[in-house]
Formats: sequence, structure tokens, C-alpha cells
Amino acid sequence: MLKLHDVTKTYAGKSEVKALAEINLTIGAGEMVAIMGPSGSGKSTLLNLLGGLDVPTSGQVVVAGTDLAGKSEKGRSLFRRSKVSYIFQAYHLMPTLKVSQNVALPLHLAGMATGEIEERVARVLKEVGLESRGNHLPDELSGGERQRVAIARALATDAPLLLADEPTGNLDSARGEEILQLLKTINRERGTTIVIVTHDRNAASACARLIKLRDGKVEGDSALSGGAA
Amino acid sequence: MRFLLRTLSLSYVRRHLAKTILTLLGVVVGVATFSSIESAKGTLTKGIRSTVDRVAGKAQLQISMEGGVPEEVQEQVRALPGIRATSPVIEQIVTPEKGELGSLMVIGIDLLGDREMRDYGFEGDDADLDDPLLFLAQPDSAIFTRQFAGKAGLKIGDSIALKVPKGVKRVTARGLLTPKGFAEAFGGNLMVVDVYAAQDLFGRGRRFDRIDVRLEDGTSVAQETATLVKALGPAYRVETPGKRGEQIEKIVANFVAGFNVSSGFALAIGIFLIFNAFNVAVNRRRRDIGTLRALGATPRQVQLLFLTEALVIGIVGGLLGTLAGTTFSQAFLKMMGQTSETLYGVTSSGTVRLPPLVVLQSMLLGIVASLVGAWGPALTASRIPPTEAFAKGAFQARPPGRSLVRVAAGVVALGSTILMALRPPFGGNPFIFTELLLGGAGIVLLVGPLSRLLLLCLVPLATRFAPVAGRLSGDALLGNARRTSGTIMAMALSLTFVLGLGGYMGSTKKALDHWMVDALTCDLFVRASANFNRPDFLFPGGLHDELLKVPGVRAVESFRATRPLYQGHQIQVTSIEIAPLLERMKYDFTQGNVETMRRGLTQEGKCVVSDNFSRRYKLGVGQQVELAAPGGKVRFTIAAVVRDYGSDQGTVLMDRTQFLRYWQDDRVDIYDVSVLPGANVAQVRDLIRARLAGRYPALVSTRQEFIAEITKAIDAFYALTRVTLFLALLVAFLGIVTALLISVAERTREIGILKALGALPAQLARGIVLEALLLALVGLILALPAGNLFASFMEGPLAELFTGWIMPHHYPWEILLQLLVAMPLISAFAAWIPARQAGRMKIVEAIEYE
Amino acid sequence: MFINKLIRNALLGLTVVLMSALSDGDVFAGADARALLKESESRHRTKTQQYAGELTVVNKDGKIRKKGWKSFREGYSGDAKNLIRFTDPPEVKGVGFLSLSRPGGQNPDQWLYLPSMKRERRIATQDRDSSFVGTDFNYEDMEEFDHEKYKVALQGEQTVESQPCYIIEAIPFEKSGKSVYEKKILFLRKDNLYLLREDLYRKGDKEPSKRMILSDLQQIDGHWVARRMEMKELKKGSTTTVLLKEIVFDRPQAAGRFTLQNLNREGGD
Repeated sequence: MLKLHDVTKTYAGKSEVKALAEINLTIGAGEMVAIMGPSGSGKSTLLNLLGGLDVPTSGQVVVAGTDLAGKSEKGRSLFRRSKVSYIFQAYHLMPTLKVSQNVALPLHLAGMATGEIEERVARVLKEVGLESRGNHLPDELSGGERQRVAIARALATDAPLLLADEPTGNLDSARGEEILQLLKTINRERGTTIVIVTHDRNAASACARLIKLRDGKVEGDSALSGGAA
Repeated sequence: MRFLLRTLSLSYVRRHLAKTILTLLGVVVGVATFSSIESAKGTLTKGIRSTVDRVAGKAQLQISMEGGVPEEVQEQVRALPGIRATSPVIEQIVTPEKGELGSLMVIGIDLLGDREMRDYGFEGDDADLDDPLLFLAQPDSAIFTRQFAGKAGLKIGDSIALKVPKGVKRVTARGLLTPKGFAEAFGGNLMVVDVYAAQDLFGRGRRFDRIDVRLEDGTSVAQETATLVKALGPAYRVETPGKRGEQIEKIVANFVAGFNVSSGFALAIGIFLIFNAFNVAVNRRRRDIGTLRALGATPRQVQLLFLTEALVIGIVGGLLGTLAGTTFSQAFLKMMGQTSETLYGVTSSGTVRLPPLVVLQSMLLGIVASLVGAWGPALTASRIPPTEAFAKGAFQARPPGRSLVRVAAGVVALGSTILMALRPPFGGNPFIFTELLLGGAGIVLLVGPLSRLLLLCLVPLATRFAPVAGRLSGDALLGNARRTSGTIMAMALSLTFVLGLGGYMGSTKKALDHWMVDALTCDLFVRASANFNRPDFLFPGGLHDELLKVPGVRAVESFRATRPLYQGHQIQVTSIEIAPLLERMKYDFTQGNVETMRRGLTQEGKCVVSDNFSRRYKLGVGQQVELAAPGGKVRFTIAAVVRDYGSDQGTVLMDRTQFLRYWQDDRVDIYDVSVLPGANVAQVRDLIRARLAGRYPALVSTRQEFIAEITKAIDAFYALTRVTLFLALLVAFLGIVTALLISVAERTREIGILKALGALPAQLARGIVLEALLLALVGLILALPAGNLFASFMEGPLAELFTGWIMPHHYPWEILLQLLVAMPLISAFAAWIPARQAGRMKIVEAIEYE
Repeated sequence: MFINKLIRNALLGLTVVLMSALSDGDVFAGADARALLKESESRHRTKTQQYAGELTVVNKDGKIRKKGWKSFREGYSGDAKNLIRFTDPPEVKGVGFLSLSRPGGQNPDQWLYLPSMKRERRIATQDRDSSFVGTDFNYEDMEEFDHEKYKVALQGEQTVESQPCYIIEAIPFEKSGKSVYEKKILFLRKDNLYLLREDLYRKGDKEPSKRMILSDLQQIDGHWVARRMEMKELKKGSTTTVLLKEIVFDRPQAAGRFTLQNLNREGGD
């Protein structure tokens, strides 16, 4: 599903910063992987590369059979639309849109027919247990609910890859646990590949595999029991 | 896309209603100004044209001459072959005492025989002209259109008071015209009087304004024109009404073109406002845009989203602007009409119609302006990377690159502007256009680097006086170089405009003031007309002796000015008794001297020309000026060249005896009266007034009064320039406001942190005010040399190109002083809203913002 | 003497033949018409005539305007001089009209004087069809009829107002000044050759545009004179009537009466 070959990413500035250094990594379809590491270890950069938000300075990033390194801005946008979905720490819901509209947003961007959008939105909202909240504004929801909306938005496109950036970072442990359970369910039932970047051991333990990053390099890659549970 | 617009854009609009309305207002103001000026312009020229056509009736040719066509010419013309009918005409625009009725066009015609020329629409009989004999026998008789009569509540036999040159005069309605053809001229605000009554009413002497000619069947217009020109000589103009209308239309269109500058300026402000508003919006919505991009929106989709928003604003603004324009256009028409009336004696009355073409143009303009303004911000938005959604740090602007190339290009552009101004390689509008374009480009290129340089010097200075505020504002200004230089550019250009135009106005006024003191040296001016450009009355020459008899009067000189065409330009030919004039007037000689002038004009039949005439037509002392007089062409040798600001197209001055000899017209514009030593000027003035009252216009003013009146007239002429200045200041103000708004929006998190660290709202506000002050100061510093250059350009090459005058440069210290007082106030005021916004910001939200 | 007469008759005969050749009309009728008109002129010619006129204009709506004038005439027909001075109502008092015949069949010189302007204005040829101060007379109608300016032909006879009349068609010669009319039909009373009616055809008109009727004939100082003169604009339906009063013939007229100076003299008769 995911294949990184000798991927290096440097940021130009007053002094050059090497965020990732010659990373090699393979993640199979249907895996649920946690990426951990201290600040500045290159977690976010890795996530950006995986999602096609950014391109590597050198090396190959192949996601779902597509080499992103050689893709144009537009090509990557189209790629994101169909292959990847995101969950952010701060949810990033459009505050002015209703829950259902937020969920529908990527489908509209992809130019899907209105009838199909409605049907899908209803389906994913039900899947995350928010079928009664469709007409609310994000501000009217709790943190856990908001993140569920974000998950619903991620599910709506049926993308095979789901990238989560600190999905439980803004939630208390109980709500966080709910979200993790939801992600696990999704991983299990839909077979979606999920990559979670997190500081939270708890969150990591929900996954079947843990990749540790430090100073832009893979420090450890190990199987966890959480995935099996 | 429709979904995005309906949801994202609309909700943004709802949340930032005030800002959206401001943006919309930018378009509305721009479009309204354009459409109202355009439609007023169209209505004015079309109205004038149709009035000329309608008044001309069946006339195929019209004969006119500067100063009027003597009566006997009519007999001469009638005797020529090919003439079916001729009819004398006098035209004058007057105002009823009840001003709300609007200007009234008075047409003096020979009712005895005018039917050959014009269709009266008396509905087939004379019933409406109650009694033709009574009409002719009573000098106060007038015919009104039914339309006007209805408006004024006039019935046959009723009288109405009109302001005519001689004072207020009552005329009696003795007939009514049905509105068709002729009676529809001038929007129906038409009054017909007997041509001979009009001569008396408007001081035409035994002259007509023109003679309308209808040809025999089978005589061609060209053939008869040749016959007439041959018979009448070069002083007469023989033209078709169409040609005449065209010419008047051209003159008026030229004058009205000045309004295009205002219209363009208003539109530029609109674009600037949209640009700013979209910049603010893009900044505010950075994260939303990032998220959209992360969700798979292509850059094009993002750009399209903003451009579609701009399109909607453009359409709505264009529509509202066009609508608003219709309400302003009437006011514009009135203003233009009044000016064109005083300057050219033509105007159009009636209501503005909005031609579909103008609607289309306005709408298109609103849309284009909106798109142009939003283009840059939309592009910026599309380039926002999707990682922005994850960005946790503040947005960092990239410093603009390649400043060396930029500076070099700027220096080259500005340098060539100055060089070209010194030695114009070509003339006319292309020259002006090139100069403005090059100069503008130079300034635009140089403003960025220069402002940065200035800020780098100024910020430490400010920091020394206000450590916190200084550092805050410095960071803000230097941190986003592009925004800063953009704002300063708009300010510098506006202020350049202000200083340049203001400087030009100041120099012109100063030169005129100086000249007036030298030229206007007698004690009293007895004028026949309040209109300097187009007298609506002339005194008979015989009044000279009568004035001389008034107790206290020592001397009287008779000044007459005519405005004939010379090489296609309307110059001024003036005449006066030169010998006594030279006793009291001090001329500033460019060539020749008082002696050559005195001898040349009084003994040798020569003339004197103004400096601008000499420059425009490249004629100097010893060379000859050929003028078309009624008897044929006359050549005058130039005896001297003097500085004179009487006409922007050039002045030829001669002794009165010469004028009387060649022009056979003894009428007088102004009697210059000098009083006996010790006589009370005010008393003499009142005596003269009493003597003239009722018979002639009694416009008697003392020297001071006359100078004040001329000054007022000049000021009125510059009123439009003043409006433009105000608009320029408005741009500067709006530029500061929006720049600061963006600055605050971009630094939300920073401000939040500062507040969390204990910064007081007042400290933050001070920082923002200081930011505004620095912006204004840098803008002003840059505008100083640029404004000076602009003013020099207008006073020198531009003025010379159009008028032949070279105005002595006078630095606009007073404007600079005003700016130095106004700019800090304006910028502090501009900082008020953003400062308040920063002060009110909630810390938690602010920190969470990024 | 006899020789002279003979030559004159011969010339006259020649003229008649020439004219009839030109007109391709009834030779005798043509000759008769001219002779009749000549006879009429010589019969009614007076040295001078003056009268006080009462002018009434009735428009098609029945609205009535009245004026009063005094008329002075010296000479007759082709050599007439005529001065009219309005006397009533006060608003038009002093308005004057002077008409001086010119030799060679040219249009006469005509001027209108307006006291308010204190100056005269010349009536131009182009204005000959303009209404004379709002009446149904135009400036051409204000001239005396001079048969020498017309090609004339006898058309027949007809009874008008129970008076048998000759009908004469008069077509203006174009060369001698322009006329407003294409033709005039004159009705001459058979017994005294006095003009009773004139039908006036404007250029291009098939029907008469105007009709002048002279009535109330009386003999004063041995001269026939119609005391009532009526002009109808047939299409417009308006009528102007002049009633002649205080008619005096052959009274010597003041020297300089028929001059521009006199016309311009305030109240100058």
C-alpha cells in the first residue's frame, strides 16, 4: 500500500534542516500503524509525504501504486481526493458549515452527484454514530463528536488510506478511547490502511505496528498486540 | 463549486458582513462614478447635438462669425443665387428666477418669415400664438413650449421672471408650442422670442448669432458653401448644422473628457479596495483553504472559488453601481451642463437616460475591476500549500527577490521620464501617456526597495522613543515586505498625485495672482457680462462717453475681447485704448519693450502677442500674425511679446482704433474706469451703477472685487481637481486601514501571545498606530520628490504643450504643511479599527488560531 | 397724331398675336381678358385713397380678434404706395406697414414698423406668404393687383352674389418677382368691371386655398368702392374681414408720407 524508498526531505532556510534522512518503509494494505517520536523527529513531515501534501527532496514515495514524487500539484490534489483521507488533531472542520455539509465537502470537491453525496453522508454519519447531528454546527458539538465528524468526512470518500495526525490530542482519555475504537473498527471492517501519528502511548497501543522516529530516521519498527485485540 | 460558494463563501460573507459591504461599496462607488459620468456625458453631448439639429430645422447651412453676424449680411446672402430662404437666429441660455425650472434656452428668430426654416407645431394654425400682432408689438412677448408652460404653470398672458444680463426681466407668454421637432430642442425648456427683441435683451447690437440658410432645390450644399465663403470672406464660418453640432459636441466632449480622470480614479479605488478586501479574506481563510487543499481541492478550484466570489461581487456591485449611477448622473449632468454652459454657451437640459451600452459597459467594468482586484489574492490563495492545514507556526512571507534588478529598472524608467520631459521626442497625448506610464512604472518599481531602506532607518529611531511599540510595528512592517511595500506604493502614488496636482494648481494660481496685480490696475471695472469665457452681453461703444461724464471719473478705456479661430485654435483677440493703458499698466516683456509696444500699437498699426501665443505658433517680434477680419484677412506685425494669462490658447492685443477699423464693431466687454485723485471709488461705482440700471447689466466692481471674482472663477475651474485630490487622500486612508487589518489578522497568534505575556491593549494599540504613522511617513517621504517631479512636469512640458505657458515653479509648501498635519491624524484614525480589534482579541482564541 | 395712334394699335395687335401664340389659348379670350382688366384699372384708378379700417379676424374655433387701422394710398395698381398704421387696441397702436411698388413688375418693397423696437423690418421675398400680422392676408395679398404681372385669360362668365361676372384666370409671370400663388381666378362684375371675388390657388393646390370677397359696393366721390373686404383661408377655416370707413378719394397726401422716415416716426401717419 505504502512504500518509501530512500526518502529524504530537507527544508531550505538560513540553515538547511534535514527533516527526514533516507527513510525506507513499507506499510501493507489494511495495516494500522502508529508513528511515534519526539518533536522534530520528522513525524509530521512523513505524514505530509504519505498524504501527497508535500514531495520529498529525494527518494520515492509510492502510495497505492502511485509514485507521488513525480506528480504535479494538481495530480497530487486529484490523488488525495480519491486515495487519502485525513484526521487532524484540531479537527479542521469548517466552522460555518453544518456537520453534514462538512462531511459532504470532499465529495463536492470531487464533483460527485448530489443524490449520491446525500446517501453517502447519511451512511458515514451513521457509521460514526452521529446520524442525529447532521444539522448541527461543529461549535455545538463536544470535542469527541467533532473528531467523529472529521472521521466521517474521512470515510466519506472511501479512500483506502487514512492518515491521522494526533487524533486524540485534544480529547480526554475516555473520548480518546472511543475514537481509537472507532478507528480500529474502521480498519477491521473496511480494511482501510490507517497511519496514526501520535505522542500518545495509548493511541499507539491501539495499533498493530509501531514505528519510532528520531532525528529523521527510523529508530524502531515493531509489532504490537493492540492490533490483534 | 456551487456548493462551495453556497456554503463556504456565503458563510464567510455572513460572518464578515461589514467587510463584504465595504468591498461591494468599492465596486459600487467605482461603477456608479463611471456610469453616472458616462451617461451624463452621453446625455449632455447627445442633448446638445439634438438641440442643434432641432433648432436648425430645415436649415442646410449656417453662417456665423465671432462677435456676431451683422444684420446687413442677411440681405447680402438673400441676394445670392441658390438661396431659398434665410433666417436670423440668436441663441442664449438663461435661468428663470425660479431656479428649479432649470435653464431655459432662448431662441430669437424672425417670426415673420421663419416658417421656411422651422416647424412650429402650432397645430396647423395660429390659435396658439394668441395674437401675432400683439406678439410683435410687445417687446416682452415670448412663446413657450407646452411642456415648459405646464411645468411653470404658465397660461397665455401670464408672465414669468427671467434672469437676463440686464437683470431680472419679466416676459409674457403669448403663445405655446406643441412639443414636436423644434419644440423638443433643449429638452423642451425652450422659449422663442422675436430676434430683434433678443438683440436688445442680450446686447447683440445690430447683429445676429448666425443666419440659417435654406437652399433652392437643385443647389448643392458644397456649391452654395463655396459661393457663400467667396461672398462673405474668411471671417465668416459657413457650415452645415451637422458639422456645427459635431464641432460643438467635440468641444464639449473634450471638456467632459476631464471627468474620465475622476471616473478612472474612482475605479482604481474600487480595484484597490477589492484587492485589499480579498487579501484580508485570503489571510483570514488560510487554514480553511489549507484544509480544502488537504481534502483534495486543486489549486485551480481554490482560485476559481475566489474569482467566482469576485465575479458575484462584481455583478452585484456593477448592478448596484449602475443603479446608484442613475441617481448621481443627474447631478453630474447639472455640473457638467453648467460648466459647458459658461464655457461654451451650450448645454443640454432634461433627464439623463441610461443608454444600454453604458449599462453593459458599467456591468462589465464592475466585473473586470472586481476580477482584476481579486486576481492576485486568488492566486495567492491557490498557492497556499495543503500543509498549511497542519502548520503550527506563523505564516512566513517570503521576502521579495531580485531587488537589484528592480531598482535598476526603476531608475532607468524614472530617468528616462525626466529626460523625455526635458526634451520631448514627440508631442500630444502619446507623450503624456508615455510620461505617466514610465514615471508610474519607475515609482512602482522603486517604492518597495526604497521604503524598506527607509523603514530600516526609521524603525530603530522609533524604537528608541517607544521601545515596545517601536519593535512591534517594526516587526510587523519589515516582517511582511510585500504587504508593506504595496501599501506604501498606493500611498506614495496617491500623495504624489496630491502634491503634483496641488503644486501645479498652486503655481498656476500664483502666476495668475501675480499677473492680475500687474494687469488689473484701474479703479473700477464696468462689465457687460459675468461670464468671462463667453460674454452674454456687450455694451454699445457709445457708453464710453457717457461714463466719462460721471462725476469723479478721470478716464475710461474700452476693452473688447473676441475669440476667433487661429490655425484651428480659439485664440483671443483683445483691443483697448493702448496709450492710456500703458500709463497705468506694467507689462512683463519677453520680447520688445514699452517703447516698441507704444509706438507699434498706436502709430504703426502693429500688435502685441502673449508669451504663450508666441511659443505656440513660433512667432516673435517682427513677424506677422494673420487674422481673419470681416473685410478679409489682415496682417499685423508683432511689436512685442508680453506675459499674459488672458487665454490658454494665446492672445493678440491691438489698439482699439485698429479693431474698430478692421472689425467694424464698436461693442465693448469691459470699461476700465479710473477715478480722479481723491474721488471715492465706492461712490463713483454707485453712481455708475445707478446710471446703467435698467438699461444695461450693471456689473460694476472695484479692483479688489474684480480680482476676487476672477480668483473665484479660477477656483471653480479647479474644483474638479480638488475632488480628485480628495479621492487620492481617500485611497491613502483606505490603504492604511486595510494594510493594518491584514497585519493584525496575520499576527493574531503573535498578538495573543503578547497579551498572554501581559501586553496591555493600549500598548498594542500604540504599536499599531506607530505602524500606521510609519507607513504614512514613508509614503510621504517617497512622495515628496515624486510629487515635485509630477508638478514640474505639469507646469513645464504639459502646460507648454496645451497652453504654451511655462508656469514658474512654486513648491506647494502649504499642501505639504497640510499633509504633515493631516497624515498623522488620518493614519491614527485609520489605525483605530485594527487597534481596537487587536485589543479585544481573546487570548485563548488567538493562540489557538494557528 | 393719327400716325402715332396707328402705330400704337399695330403694336398692340402684334403683342396680342404674340401673346396668344405663347399661351396657345383662346386668342380672343386672352385679348378680352387683358382689355377688360385694363379697362377696369382705368375706370377705378384714383389718385389717392384713405380710410379707417376695422379689422376682424375670426379663427376656426370662432375666436375673434379686432384691430383698427388707418390706410393711406397714393397711386394705383402698379404704381401704388400704401401706408397702414394701427390705431387700436392700445397694445398695438403705432405699428405701421409701408408698401412701395417698384417698376418693371418687380415685387414691391415692404416694411413693418414696430414701435417697441423703434425700427422697421423689411419683408423679404421669402416671407411673402407669411400672415400679415396674424390676419388671413399674407404680404403678397397686401399688394395692389396689377394685371401686368400676370398672364390673363377669360374663362367664361358666372353670376356672383346675383351679379353677372367675367371669370378671368391670372397666372403670375415668374420673371417679375416671385408669387406665392400658382394662379388667381378673378370675378369681375360685368356692369362696372369691379372685382367681386378672387380665388387664390397656392402653388401645387388644385382647389382654391383662399378666397377674397369684396362686397357692400358703394359709390363715393364718384368712385366705386367695396366697403367690405373678406379673406377666407379655406383650409384653415378662418376669416379676416376689413370694414372700410371714412373713405376719402383723391385727397392730396402729405409729402413724405410714404417714406421709411415717416414709417419710423412714432405715430407718423
